[in-house]
Amino acid sequence: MITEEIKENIIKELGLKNFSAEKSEEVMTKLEQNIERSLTLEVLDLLTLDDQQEFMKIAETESDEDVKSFLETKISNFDSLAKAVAESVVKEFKDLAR
Amino acid sequence: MFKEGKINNEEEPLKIIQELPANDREFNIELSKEDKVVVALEKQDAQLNFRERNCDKNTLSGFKKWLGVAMVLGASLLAVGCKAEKPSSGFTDNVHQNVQQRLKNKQNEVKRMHENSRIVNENGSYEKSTQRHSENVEQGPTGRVSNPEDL
Repeated sequence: MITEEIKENIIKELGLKNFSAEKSEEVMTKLEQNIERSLTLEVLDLLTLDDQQEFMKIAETESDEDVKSFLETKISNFDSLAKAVAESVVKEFKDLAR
Repeated sequence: MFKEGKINNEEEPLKIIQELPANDREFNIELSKEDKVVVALEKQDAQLNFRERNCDKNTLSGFKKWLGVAMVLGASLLAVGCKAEKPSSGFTDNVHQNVQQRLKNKQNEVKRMHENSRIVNENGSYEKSTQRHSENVEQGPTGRVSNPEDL
């Protein structure tokens, strides 16, 4: 859940202060998608093919909590991985946009 | 096919550049901040597209769909990446834990008091206890009985 305060912090952090609300929203959405895509690729790299297939079965039939539990058994530091990926994508974006 | 003596049109731009003074041959194209942001996103997009091409499409879309719900961290990944969440969010958790702990302690304390009270009654000390309690009870000028502890 992004509150207005968090959104302002993001805009400031990404240097989008002078952008229109519409444009900054567009950039944030796109960047969030890039983080999710990047995290997906990192997760897939860490799972074996068997694990990937098992994940697909669980994701189709079980609850989100079960899916998360499964990933946590396979990737012990999943939250840390997600955080690291998010920070890395944002840093890369800032470097490229400089 | 060009007739001798005629200028090849395709070579004309090069000729124009060659005729320019040396200082004017370098062009510095300064992109606006907005353009830089767009280019940065496009570069990231291209890199991700390249990596995604090597993955099984079904598996990829399954993962994306699940991660897209953003329930992984219960928060926006972008906010996490930008460290835009206030550090107080962690502090709030601690406060919450502290409150829960204090509440639990209080409940235990009340439970202990009830337990003690029950033991006192069972030992037949109830009368003594009541007597001690009555010593502290005074009758007010209005005739109302009040306990000084309640004041």
